[in-house]
Amino acid sequence: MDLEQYQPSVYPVTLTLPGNLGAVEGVRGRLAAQLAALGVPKDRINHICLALDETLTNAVEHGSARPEQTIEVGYRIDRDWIEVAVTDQGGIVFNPEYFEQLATIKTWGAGGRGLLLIRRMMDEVYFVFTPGRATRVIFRKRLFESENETAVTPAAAATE
Amino acid sequence: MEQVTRAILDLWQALAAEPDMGRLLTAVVRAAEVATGAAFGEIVLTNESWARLEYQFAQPAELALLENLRDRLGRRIIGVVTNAQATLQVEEPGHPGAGMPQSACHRGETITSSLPLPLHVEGNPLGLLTLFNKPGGFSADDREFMETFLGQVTTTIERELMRVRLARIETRLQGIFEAIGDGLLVCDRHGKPLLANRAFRAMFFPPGQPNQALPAVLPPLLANPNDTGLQEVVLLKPHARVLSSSFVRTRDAQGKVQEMILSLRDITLSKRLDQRFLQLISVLIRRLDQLLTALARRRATARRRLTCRLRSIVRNLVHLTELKAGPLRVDKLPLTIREWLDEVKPRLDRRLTAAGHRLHWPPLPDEADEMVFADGAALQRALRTLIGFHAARLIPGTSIDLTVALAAGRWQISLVTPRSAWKRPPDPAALDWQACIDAFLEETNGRFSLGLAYIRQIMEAHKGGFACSTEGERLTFQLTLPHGGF
Repeated sequence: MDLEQYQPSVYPVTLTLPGNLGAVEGVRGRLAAQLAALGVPKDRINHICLALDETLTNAVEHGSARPEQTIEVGYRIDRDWIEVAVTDQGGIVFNPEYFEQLATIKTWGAGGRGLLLIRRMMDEVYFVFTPGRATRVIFRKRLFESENETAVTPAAAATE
Repeated sequence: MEQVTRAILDLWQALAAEPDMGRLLTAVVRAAEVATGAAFGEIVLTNESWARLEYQFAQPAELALLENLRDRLGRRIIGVVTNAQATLQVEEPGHPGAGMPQSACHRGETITSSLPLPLHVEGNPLGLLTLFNKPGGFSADDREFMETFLGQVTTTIERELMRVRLARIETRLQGIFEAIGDGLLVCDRHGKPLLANRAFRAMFFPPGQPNQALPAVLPPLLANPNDTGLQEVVLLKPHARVLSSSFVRTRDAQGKVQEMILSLRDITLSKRLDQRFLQLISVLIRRLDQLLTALARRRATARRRLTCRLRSIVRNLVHLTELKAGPLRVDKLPLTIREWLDEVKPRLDRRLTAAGHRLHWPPLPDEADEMVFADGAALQRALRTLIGFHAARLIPGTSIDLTVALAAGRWQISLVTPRSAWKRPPDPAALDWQACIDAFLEETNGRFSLGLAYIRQIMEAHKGGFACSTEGERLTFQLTLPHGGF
C-alpha cells in the first residue's frame, strides 16, 4: 500500500466563527455560492449545506459552552469532492452511532436527528474527539453524480 | 567445551548469513598472500585455545550447518564431518606445536614456513589465518603488517555482523509490528504516513470501500500539543468503526520532533453494547418520567394500576443492572430443598390464590431433606418471580402442577400448565436477556420483562438451569439444580 498518497488534509479556506448561531448563515451562503459557481447540482449543494448547518448547530449547542469558545470551519474542494471540517472547543466525547440510532426510536424532544441526516446525505463522515479540548467533525461528499456532470473551472465560473 | 564450540559456530553461521562475507574472507586471504609473498594461506576455525577444531556432527541439521558454512564462505573452513556420534563433539587433535594448530590444507606441499595470525571478532576468537611458505621465511615486518591489516578486517567483519544482526532485528520487529492487534501508524514530523501495520490497514481501508479517512482524521490527531495523548476516532461512514487512539511523539537528543506514532484500538463492539444498554435505559427512564407525571394527575383508583407499571419498570431496571453486571454473587449456605420450598410456599399460595389460580404441591422425595449449599434467598426470589410470571399471564382459574424430582443427579422442579391457559404463550427466547432487549428496542411499545432471564441467571449461578418447553398441550417451566453440591 502506498501511504504516500494519504497526506494530511489541508484546508485552503478556514473560517473562525463565534460560538453562536449568528454566523452559520454566512458560512452556508458562502459555501453554496462557491459550489454553485462550480456547477454543482442544486440538490447536492442543499445536502452539503444542510450537513454543514447541522454540524455547526451541534458545535454551537454542545461544543461552545463558554462565550469565548470559537468554532473553526475549514473546507477544500478537490476536483469532484468537497471535504468540510468543523472543529469546536468543547471536546465532549460521544458515540455518534448512539444518537443516530436513538433518533430512530425516540419519541420525545425536537432535536437529535442531525447526525442521522449527516450520515445519510454525506459519502464519508468522521469524528475526532480530543477529550476536553476539541471535537472535529469531517464530512466528504462527491460533487457530481456521474462523469456527464462536470465541474466548471474557476476561470469559466468567473466569466459567467 | 560444547558451549564454546556452539558459540563459535553461531558466529560463523552469522558470517555465512551475509553473502558478502565469504568474498570478504577470501579476499582477506588473497590479500595476505599477495602482501607477504606467501605461497598460500587459509583460515582455520579454532577454539578459544587456538587449537584447530574438528567436529563430529550427528544430526542432519548440524551436517547441513557445516556444509552451509563451507558453501557460503568457501572450502577454507576446516572441519571433519562424521556421523558416528549422537551428539555434537569437539576433538582437539592435541599436537598444536608451538601453541598453534597445524594446517589441514593438504596440497601435497612441504611446509617450510608459516605465519599464524589470530582473528578476533567482538573480543572472541574467531579463527586463525595462517600463511605458508614465504620464500626466505616470514619477517617481523610481515607480522606487524598483517596484524594491522587484520585489525581493519576485524572492524569490517564486526560492522558487517552488526548489519546482519540489525537486519535480523528489523525483520523480527517488522513481524511483531504486523502481528500486533492494535493498528499502528508511524508518521514523519510533518505528519506524512510512513508505515502502517496490517491491523491499521484493515481499520482504515476496508475492501471495496475506497475512502479518504486517513488524511481527513490525521490533522486533529497530530495537532495534539503534548507528546502523548488519548483521543477517540469515529469512522462513521463508510467504516462504521469506533477507535480509541493513543499518540506518542518521539524527539531526538536535541528535542527535535522525529516521528509521531499512533496506536488505534477498535472498540466498536464494546461501544455498541454500551450503546444498546444506554438506549434501553433511556427509554425506560423516559417511561418512568411519563408514568410519574401521569400518576400525579390521576385519582386513587387509577394510581394503583400506574404504580404497578412503575414497579415493573423499576424491577426491569434492577434485573438489567444485575444481568449486565455478570453472574450473580452467590452466598452459599446450608439448605435443603424442603426448607427452600416450605419457606416460599405460603407466599406463592397467596399470590396465586389472589390471581384465581391453584397450585398443587407434590410430596417431596426423601432426598429433599439432604443438606446442600445454596443461596436460599436467591432461589426463593427465582421461584417467586416465576410464580409471579404465571400469575400475571394465566387465565384465572388455571391449575398449576408443581413437581419435584431427582433424576440423573439433578433436582428438577417443574411448573406444568395447559398451554391453552396462557393469555399469550411465553416465548422461550424471553429466557435470553439479550434477545429481550433486542426485541424491545425494535418494538418499543411491546411488553418488556427481564424476569425469566433473571431466573435463568440465578439458576446458572448455582450451576443449574432454567428452560421452557412445550409438549403437546403441556407447557413446562423447569428449574434444575445439581444434586449434592450446588
